Amino acid sequence: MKKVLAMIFVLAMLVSSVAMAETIVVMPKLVGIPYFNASENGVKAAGEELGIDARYVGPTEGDAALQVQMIEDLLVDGIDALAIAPNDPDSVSPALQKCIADDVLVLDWDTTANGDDVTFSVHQIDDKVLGETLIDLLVDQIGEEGEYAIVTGYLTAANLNTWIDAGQAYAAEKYPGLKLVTDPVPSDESQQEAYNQTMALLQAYPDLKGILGYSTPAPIGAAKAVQEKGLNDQVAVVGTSMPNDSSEYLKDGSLDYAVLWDPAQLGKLAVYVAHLTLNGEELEGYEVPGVGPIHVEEDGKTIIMGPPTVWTAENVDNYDF
Amino acid sequence: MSDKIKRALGNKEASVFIILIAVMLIATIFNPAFLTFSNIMDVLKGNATLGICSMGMLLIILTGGIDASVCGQLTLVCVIAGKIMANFQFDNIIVLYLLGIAIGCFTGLLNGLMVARLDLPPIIATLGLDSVLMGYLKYYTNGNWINAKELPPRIGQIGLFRFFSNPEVNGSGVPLQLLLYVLVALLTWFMLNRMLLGRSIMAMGGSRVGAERIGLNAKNLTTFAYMYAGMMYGFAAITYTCAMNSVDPNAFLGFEMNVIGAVVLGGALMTGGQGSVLGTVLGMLLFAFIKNGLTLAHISAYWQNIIVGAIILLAVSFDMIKLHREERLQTKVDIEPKEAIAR
Repeated sequence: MKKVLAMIFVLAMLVSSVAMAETIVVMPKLVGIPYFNASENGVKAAGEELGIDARYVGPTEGDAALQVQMIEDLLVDGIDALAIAPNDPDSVSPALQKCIADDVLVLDWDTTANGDDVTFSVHQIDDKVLGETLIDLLVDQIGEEGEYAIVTGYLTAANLNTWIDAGQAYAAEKYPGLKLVTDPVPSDESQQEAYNQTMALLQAYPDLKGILGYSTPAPIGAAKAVQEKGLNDQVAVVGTSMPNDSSEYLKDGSLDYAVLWDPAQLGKLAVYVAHLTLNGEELEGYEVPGVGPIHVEEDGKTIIMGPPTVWTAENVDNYDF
Repeated sequence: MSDKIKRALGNKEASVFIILIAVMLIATIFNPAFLTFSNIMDVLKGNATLGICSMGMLLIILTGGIDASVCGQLTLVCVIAGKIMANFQFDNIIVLYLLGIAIGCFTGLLNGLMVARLDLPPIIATLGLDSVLMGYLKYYTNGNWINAKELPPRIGQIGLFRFFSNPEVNGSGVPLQLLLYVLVALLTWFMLNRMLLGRSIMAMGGSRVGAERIGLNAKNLTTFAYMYAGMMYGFAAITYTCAMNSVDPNAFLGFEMNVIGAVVLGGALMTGGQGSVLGTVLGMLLFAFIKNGLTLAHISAYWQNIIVGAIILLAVSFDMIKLHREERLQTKVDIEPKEAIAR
């Protein structure tokens, strides 16, 4: 019986390798949430553009053990490349090593895996660029001079602090006229708290011209307060939030810019990087349709998708996540 | 006259009140914008959810219990009501409030039955319910918001409604949420002070054995307290959804600590039997105004946590010192009859 099964597998593999020259699997942390649903669309689009079998396979829960199981199943299936967003880099490491031993190209995307497990690492964003973009967009709204405040998620959130610090260093150098009125105010990742804090900031600093919101609920809470006080034209709100949640506030002008990245583009980029590597093509400078040229960082491993996506009242309806 | 003042100052509420006035005075000196009608109204609006929930928690703490499932119960109502609003564009607010109260009543009943009938320790029972509810809600919603785009427009409008608002100034006037909070507080006060039900809960919290000896049904009273709290959370959840015009399944993580904090700050004893609506209102106000006042006084967020913690410790210590003093006096009175019985 086992022999028969093995024969069928070998046959299936032969058939599939004849029919489809190349199988690239992109594995998200989990499927069924808007963010990763959006990246699935990018993966599918890349598969069609390149005429390859680009699959999107992931667990229904963000569980590393489930990912490991799926990787083992995929290995039996026979794949050429795997791009993974690991739920836990250490837990998936042995499975990824098995892939490498089987001559499967391994990348990570969205979330980094252990450096030894991957050939390339596809990142959504350069933290420094995101931090600086937020400052630039604020300046675009309030000009190079004026008071602004920061509403953040938690004071201890490492990624938010990296964005804030990068922005502050940049602002100090490029826009000396900008004045941060107080240390970043925490909102505990809660819209209500961001709303309360913004209300207090608006009372405390009557000359406030802008608010930067870090973490996804913060800009929405800040925009809600600005909207309620009818200050849409006096106080600018710029921050990191998702297009669907921001849409109402972008449209009435209480939120001026929402900034994050487009997960669809990220999924697409992951497939392109895998495809080009499998075919031995040069990555540097390759123009991915709809994403832009690929640039490999100095470490020869990290690929950053590019500048963040900026949503405004005009383009927010083109995105759905 | 001076006797009256002395008695008033000796009240449990007095220490919170004095600290509240001090905080407000200091904040006003630092920034006169603090003591403006519009700032006070904004703070009260932003903390109405906390205030309404604390009325429910007060009853539970009066029975000597505690409720760690505030987050789960609030989120459950928010998500169910939010889904109904979004999927059917349903915006009949009266029906939504009734639905919220009914769901809260049911989850509260579960808590009440576990605590009163199964004799589970309240912290375990409610933590368990919270874990079940939040686990399911996270699975069901994947943490996604029901956002302003999906909700019917009337929901957001209700959230923005204010009485006596000046049409020239946006966001002026008395917010609807404040009125709802005042109504809930009055209802709770009336029940605790003017109804047999409320007096019985107070009596039972003071001495369960004593209450049972005079014929009170402690099990039913405890169950009722949890149900009442659940109804308050349901009411608060709908109010919150309108005010924020969105449902975030993670919005209330850790919120129970604020609710318990407001009640305890207001002079309620975790052992039960002691606590009042006035105290709880003052506790909530203190909680809300410290944070707002510190931001208005231009104090950095890092220092705020330290100061908030210190003021809470100060307020609670006041109470405990007073309580210990009273207890010492009481023991002296008690000694004689006990010895008499022993003889």
